[in-house]
Amino acid sequence: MERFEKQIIVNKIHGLHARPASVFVQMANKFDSSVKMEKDGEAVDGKSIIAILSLGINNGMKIRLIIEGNDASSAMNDLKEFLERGDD
Amino acid sequence: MNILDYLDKDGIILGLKKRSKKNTVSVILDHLVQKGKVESREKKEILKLICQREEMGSTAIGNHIAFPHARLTSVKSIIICIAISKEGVDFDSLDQEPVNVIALLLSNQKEAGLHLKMLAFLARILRDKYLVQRLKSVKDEKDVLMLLDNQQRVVR
Repeated sequence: MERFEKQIIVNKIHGLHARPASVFVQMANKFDSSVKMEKDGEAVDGKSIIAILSLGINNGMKIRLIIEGNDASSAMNDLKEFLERGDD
Repeated sequence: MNILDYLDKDGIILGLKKRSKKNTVSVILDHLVQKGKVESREKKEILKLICQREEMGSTAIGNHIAFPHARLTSVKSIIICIAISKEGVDFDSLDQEPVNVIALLLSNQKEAGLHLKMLAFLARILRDKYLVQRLKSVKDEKDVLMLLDNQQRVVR
């Protein structure tokens, strides 16, 4: 069981709106590890689109990903890469 | 943010019948035209934009809710419509479940920030599955406004 925690600056022009949020959740669901997304001390389930949307994450905002499980390392790599990738 | 600054009882539809996704959106837009919130000549374009957006991935993201939306030049600031269906409509939801609460959002092209903020606020309000259950059994539009108002005090 691994646990990774990383601070990430979101790089999505219009923020983490509905479409990138659902892409993120699709990616997160490919892993067995639990994924938590935290903003300003509020942590939500990173495998739920509505939970992520409810954080209202704008472009350039700092968030924290907390990933725990057997495949946490590769989950962190993929999800971090997605959030930092400047598209959409 | 106060949802009641953007939503009044003319923005609420009760007893939405089971239809296809496109027809459901069309009915909601007809209602907004009838209430003078959307220009009749804009309807076709808005419907097209919303359907294009839905084709990229359904906005029915689970919890029996959907957020069809579009950003346009013709809309002033933000228009919200809450449509409720007791039996549920088919909206290609990600969890295959029928949708009971549709929160349709139209915002001005330039208002990307406000658009995301409203989407986030609606998500905070509607992520509570008990609220969605209660919305299914309201008597009138005023009940919807009251429930949303109570809920926004809790989540704000």
